[in-house]
Amino acid sequence: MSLDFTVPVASSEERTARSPMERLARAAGASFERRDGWNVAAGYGGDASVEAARITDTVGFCDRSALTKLDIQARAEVLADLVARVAGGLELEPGRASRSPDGSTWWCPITPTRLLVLSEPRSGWDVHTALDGAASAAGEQLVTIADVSCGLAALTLAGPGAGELLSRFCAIDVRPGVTPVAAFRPGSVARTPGYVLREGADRLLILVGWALGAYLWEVVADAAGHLGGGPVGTDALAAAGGGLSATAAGVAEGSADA
Amino acid sequence: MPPKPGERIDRSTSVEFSFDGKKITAHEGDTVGSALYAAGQRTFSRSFKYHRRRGLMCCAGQCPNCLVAVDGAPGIRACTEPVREGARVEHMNARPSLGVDAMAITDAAGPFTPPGFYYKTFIRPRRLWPAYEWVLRHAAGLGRLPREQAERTWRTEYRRRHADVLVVGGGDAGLNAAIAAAELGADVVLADEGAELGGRLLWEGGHDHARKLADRARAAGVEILTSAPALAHFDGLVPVWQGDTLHQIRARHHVYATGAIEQPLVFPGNDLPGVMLSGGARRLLGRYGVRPGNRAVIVTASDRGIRTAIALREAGIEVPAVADLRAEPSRACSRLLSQGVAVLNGWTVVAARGRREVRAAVLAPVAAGESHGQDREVECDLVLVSGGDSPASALITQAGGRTEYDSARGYFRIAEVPPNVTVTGQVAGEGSFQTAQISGEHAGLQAAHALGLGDNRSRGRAQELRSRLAAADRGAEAVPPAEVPHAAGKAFACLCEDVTAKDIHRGIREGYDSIELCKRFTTVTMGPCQGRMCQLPSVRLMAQDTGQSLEQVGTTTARPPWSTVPIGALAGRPFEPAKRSSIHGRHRELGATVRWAGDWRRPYDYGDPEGEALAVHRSAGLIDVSTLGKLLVRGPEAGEFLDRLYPNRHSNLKPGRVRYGVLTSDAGRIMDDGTVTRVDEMSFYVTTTSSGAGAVEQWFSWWLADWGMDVHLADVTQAVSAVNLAGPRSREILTRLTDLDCSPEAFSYLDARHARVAGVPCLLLRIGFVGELGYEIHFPAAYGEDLWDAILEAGAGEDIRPFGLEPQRVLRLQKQHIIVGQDTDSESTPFGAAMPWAVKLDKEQAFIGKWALAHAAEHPATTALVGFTLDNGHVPTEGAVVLDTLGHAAGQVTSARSSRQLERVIGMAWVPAELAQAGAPITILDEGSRRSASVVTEPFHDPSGKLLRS
Ligand code: FES
Repeated sequence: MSLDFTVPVASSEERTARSPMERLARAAGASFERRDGWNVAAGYGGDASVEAARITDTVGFCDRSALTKLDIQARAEVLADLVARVAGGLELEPGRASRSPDGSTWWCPITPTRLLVLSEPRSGWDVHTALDGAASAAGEQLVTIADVSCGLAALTLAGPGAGELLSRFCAIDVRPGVTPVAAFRPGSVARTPGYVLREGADRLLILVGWALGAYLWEVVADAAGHLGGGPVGTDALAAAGGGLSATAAGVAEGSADA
Repeated sequence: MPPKPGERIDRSTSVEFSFDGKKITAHEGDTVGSALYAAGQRTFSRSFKYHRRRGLMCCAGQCPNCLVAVDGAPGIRACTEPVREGARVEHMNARPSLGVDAMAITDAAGPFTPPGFYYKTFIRPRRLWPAYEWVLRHAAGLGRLPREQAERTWRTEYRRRHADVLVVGGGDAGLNAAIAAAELGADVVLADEGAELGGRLLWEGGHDHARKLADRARAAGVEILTSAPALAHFDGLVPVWQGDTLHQIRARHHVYATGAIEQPLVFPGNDLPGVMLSGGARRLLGRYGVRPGNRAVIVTASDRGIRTAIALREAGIEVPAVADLRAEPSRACSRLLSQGVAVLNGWTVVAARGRREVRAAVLAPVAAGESHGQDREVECDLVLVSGGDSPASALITQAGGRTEYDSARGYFRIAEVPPNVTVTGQVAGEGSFQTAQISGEHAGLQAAHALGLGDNRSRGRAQELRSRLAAADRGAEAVPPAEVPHAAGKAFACLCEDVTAKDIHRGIREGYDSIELCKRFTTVTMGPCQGRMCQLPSVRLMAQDTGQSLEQVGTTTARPPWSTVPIGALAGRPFEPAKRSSIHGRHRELGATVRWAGDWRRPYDYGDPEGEALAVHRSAGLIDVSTLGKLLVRGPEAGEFLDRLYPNRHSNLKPGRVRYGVLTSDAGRIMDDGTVTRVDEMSFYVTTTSSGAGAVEQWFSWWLADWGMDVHLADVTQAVSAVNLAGPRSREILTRLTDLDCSPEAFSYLDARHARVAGVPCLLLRIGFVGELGYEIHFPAAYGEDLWDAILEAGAGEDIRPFGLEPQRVLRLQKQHIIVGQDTDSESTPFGAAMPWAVKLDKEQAFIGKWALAHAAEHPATTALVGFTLDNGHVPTEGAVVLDTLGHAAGQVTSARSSRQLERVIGMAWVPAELAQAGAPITILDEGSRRSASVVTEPFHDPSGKLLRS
């Protein structure tokens, strides 16, 4: 594939994909594990109950930049057909994401002819391959699948204070009546273009440009600290449930803390 | 005073703070103002211009009289600022002390310093203006800020809140509105400037009722913001300031229950400490248990003053006289009369006497001409005035509402509001306790109904409330005169700016006879009270003087902010979206000096820019170029799409090849430049300048939408990182990291190859901005640090060095490679910039700017971009002027550096076209000195490009 140089799949075990927030997470006390080729902040310190309490009582934020993100472009009917082939008969409705029946992937329409696909890195490759296959079946129709996994940094806000935390740097109305679960909203996030996906009642996924990932972390960490929240690892987030089904966070392949 | 139900203070506690160094003891719940008053302080501030003594007036944060500095922060209202243990409170605007203020001399000079006097007086002689200005600036202003502050110490926050209904004002009406709307299912926010909900109820005996209402509101799910003034209404956005947070509230419906502002009266001595609004005295008494005085004369236009008289008497304060501006006694007066209080109907106050504080009030009949001989001087230490109410309509008019004068009530009432705004309570003229409650509930139901909530029952209830409102008795009020002419002395229309009634008359005489002009000339309504206390009095004075009706005079525009707010609260938390490449952290560790480059943070150098540039010439250098714009252009028509955008051809580019492209506007002017790589039959990879990435992406998208071609565009600027490995040893280094055949034959200049480098999937471009053999390596951003480290490690034996932006600029200048925006401007064409080869006018495909470029080709520009050298070691300033043969300015230097490699000063400049020849002498005028330079028309370094192609 000629666009390989955009896909974060290294052939060498020595190479680890890293989030733009990695250094800040490390400074906040994260312990890292290599999972599915990514260095993932699995937790913060020894006491997992602190992170769990953030998610249940106040608000936690979790770096999810390792998510596979695919930007698909095609004519509306071609796009719908593509999604139907890969994920069954999901409705593509502007402003509303659909979760695939197996719970592994979010299909987020940006425009009628553009779709952002999000999945955990473990299942991301399968989704990508399936989409490539479906695109070939589209024949003459132009379908472009760009891997933007490294184009968008991602952070989940989880906990009862997620909306309150978001309100400190984003004007998108995330009241449940306006932005229900699965609502997908493009907008200005911390004065930069981004997206907000309501993954669950108390869970908001934010996506901004990769190069602004560290900036987003700083903004969120500052505001969260003010509200009594703090960072949580992917393990605590997975344990709380409600995310993508592969949020079991893969199988540890060894420590990559160095 | 003995404890009273409903008071705000907790007498079991004590809090200590200092005022001008003196220790003051207060209770929890006290304000700085109430505590100081209880401690006997009567003068709280000195006035703005005349430095007159000013004391508590409204006790509600609405006038300018109690401004103090707390812990160094000026402009705090003592009467609303809660006491804090250890707080340092200081007076403002008086030197050497509040009691003895040297600038009080201006009070005596008053007749010589009317409004505008300094415009007229200090204009001559002109040369002395700096001295005048110094004096005036030091004399003017309230409070002092620290001259310097290294760090911002106050963390403020914005909070965006969307709601169905925003209720502004938490009095009886506001609370009832919020409850009614919330109980019908609306998401309601209620904001009130007071520390506790209830408004007037709190000091007029309704505290229990207020507490119950607040509990009901909370139970109904209303989000309550207290000590939270609404600052403005901007197109549906209402900023509400609360402590360190600025709530930006966007509601679908707004209910304004902002109340009314008790008005002062204009009479000589109306600013003496001890002259207070009746509401101020009641707040002191009811909320803080502070005796406002011992003997009070009350002057009122409504029952508000009568109720105050009753409350004072109940508290054991003597009331020797009540002057009621209404001709007939109201029902409420009977209680006072039965207690033997002298109630003088049709009378008002015409002067307050005293030096430091009030000692007596002079009362007289209101009707003109009747005052002579009937004046009555009554000894007292308190004059409580209640000159009627003025609806607090500023936010409503900002929301699009309209006011009109109500001659029966003597104020500007709300005549019209936009459909998504409801007004209720005193601001809507429903001031009695009974009507406030009804109108509040009605407003809440109305708001909910407007949002599609409610049912037949709620609609029926709204109908019933409307009928009750229609039948309600609203009591009588008098319209106070603008002023009652009397004894000499300053009668203030505007306390904030020290504007007297006389000043308004003088302004009118000088021709400032509209309220807006008068405002600008006298500054009336422009002070901290924002017109709360002075708008209505000044309109009345103006009407009296000009013979116009009050309706004709009108009001001034109510501009934000409605309440005083620190600038820091408006600034919010700093947000500085800084783009950082995936290698940023490593650059820092390597000692890079990081600077802004567009919206990116980039390494400027690693401490040795010259050495870094030399490393590129002698061995190898590595630079992070992740900031380049990167676009994927894909589709069967992608080649044609690019042919239409660029003046050269790209559709004939072979897969695996790279071509330079300069983008021009419709006018043929250079917009951006970069490379176009054909990665496969259908796909092109376009790079742009770092700062032009966003604009180019928009340009492409715009034209794609217009042409509707079968092409997809994806911006991968941030998804793909890039480094440039350059220098004679770069091939060896690269070979150690990849299986790719990097020989010149297999991978030649302007080739592109897919390969794994150190295991990372990469696209490699053999191009060289810096003029040496080089490889631009593009790869997924997540591997930034790993790949950077791997290359430096592989090149360690070759003395590879990381290099920053500054050495890159020197290296590219040696090749005369332009930087768009630095070496070009909005008038530069590729022809002028010595790049005619980048334009293919013979291209069959029409392209953007073709017509203009054809015209430019036929009409050569008068200036041309060339290189130059200087021998004497002077590096001219970028922007220095190039002179023509006659010594006239004819061009400018765009880039200049000293090159260690070439051991001379080199640069690029726009010069007169006739001088654009190798060796031509040019003169550069740089900061007053003339420097001779020679034109160089080919690259300074490796002019044949042998090294680049090696
Ligand atoms: S007395 Fe404090 S603002 Fe009026």
